[in-house]
Amino acid sequence: MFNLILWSIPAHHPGSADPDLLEWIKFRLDHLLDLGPWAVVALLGLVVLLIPISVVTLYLVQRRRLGYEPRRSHEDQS
Amino acid sequence: MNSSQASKPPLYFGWYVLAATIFIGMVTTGAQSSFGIFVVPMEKEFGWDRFTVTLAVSLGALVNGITQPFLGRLFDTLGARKVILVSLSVYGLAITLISLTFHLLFLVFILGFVSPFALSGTSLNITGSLVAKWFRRMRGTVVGFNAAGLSLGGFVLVPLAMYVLQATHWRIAWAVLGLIILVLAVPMAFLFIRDDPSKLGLEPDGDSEPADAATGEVTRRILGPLEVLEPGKWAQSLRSWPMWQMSGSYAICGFTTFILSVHFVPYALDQGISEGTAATIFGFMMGLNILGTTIAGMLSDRIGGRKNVLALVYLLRGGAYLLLLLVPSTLGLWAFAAVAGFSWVATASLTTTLTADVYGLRALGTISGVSLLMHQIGGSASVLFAALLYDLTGSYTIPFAIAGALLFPAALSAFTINERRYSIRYQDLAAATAAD
Repeated sequence: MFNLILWSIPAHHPGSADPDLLEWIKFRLDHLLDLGPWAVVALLGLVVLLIPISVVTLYLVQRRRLGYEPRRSHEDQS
Repeated sequence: MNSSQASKPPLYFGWYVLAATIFIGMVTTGAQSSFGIFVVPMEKEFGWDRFTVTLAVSLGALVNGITQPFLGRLFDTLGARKVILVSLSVYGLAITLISLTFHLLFLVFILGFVSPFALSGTSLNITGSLVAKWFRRMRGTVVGFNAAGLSLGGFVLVPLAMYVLQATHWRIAWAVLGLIILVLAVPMAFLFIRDDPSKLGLEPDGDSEPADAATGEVTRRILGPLEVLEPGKWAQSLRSWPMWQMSGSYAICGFTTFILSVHFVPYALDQGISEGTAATIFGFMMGLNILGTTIAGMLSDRIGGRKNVLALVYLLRGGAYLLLLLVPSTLGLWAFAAVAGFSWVATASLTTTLTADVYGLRALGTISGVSLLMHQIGGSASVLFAALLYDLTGSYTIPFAIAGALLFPAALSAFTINERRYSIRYQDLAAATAAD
């Protein structure tokens, strides 16, 4: 029971997921995707990369095309 | 530049701040949640048992809960930019360093102290308080979007870590997670995290009213009656009802979510349902988080009274517990998951938003941190409580019935918050009506 309590403390909000549950999820993902590990890594890596790249690109495009430049913050000026 | 481009207003900088906080929430929570997949390979390499590894994780969770108000106070005094940049850098470094683990004490130090401390500086409490400063009319919606970032981490980062682990080695997988934070999230935070709109000469929501030229501070027309004007005076909030009404119901939120996070699968097994089906149902419920928190946030901006939406969310969860107990077998579990999934994280964003509306923004980090601490205490107590009652009665019926029953007073507590009297939203409305 004590082990159960220990695993439970980080549950909900930022915490570590149950290793058995994760192993089961991976088993299901393998069936669903039917791809090699490197292909999945490339696919998910691309998703992770695309988020900041697209946000930064949008910001730069706005700044260039619309002359948008928010006033520099106090901490930047100091 | 053509005329349509010239007339089109630029995207409000607050949306970039929101995008950055969502990405930060995604990668930090994703890295934290991934630990579960490293347990088996690390146990095998070092010969540790599950209990020892669990101890490090649980210690980290406690440190994370306790440090929330302190990091909240730093957020209020130093500003979001410094707190988030330093915390994110330390967290990324700590996750990378786990790849060099050579001894159990090293893991306990990193996972039990350094990373949870740093994680508090990028938590929902901090990022939610930050986006609440950038948006006023759409506060509920954006704080809801921000909370959805946490769930995204589980969907993207955890599977990524799983497959990197399969393709390489656990040390490389940890290093990849750490580098994602250091190489992608830290620069994004550097570019887009700014303490509040007034520092860029902007107004919340991108409105066009000018800031006070002399101070750079945005002058608000009216202050809320309970508004805390200095970070050091956050304790004033403890002398008012809304703080206890929100924190009390938030503690019950922790009680009713932690208990399920741990005991849901064992309960399903007791009902004769396979572990696979139980895990699928639980995963489905977690997936509904994203939808639930964004819909609740949007609703709270559009219909009267955030406290009504908050009360509705608690009622929904209470109804879900009733379904779980009254509808037998698999059908009851699916019905529970469908209803409870919407309420799982929605309470966090709604509580932060309501706290900002009632107590203002100057001490929001600290006050939200105190509320979150209450949530974590309620949650930790619930797991022990459920485990003890299970040992005594041999069933989850009584602990789940108590948890479900507690949600109705929680809903009542949220519903009776006198938002019209204390929330800045209604102060503005009253002022506008008086001016007319």
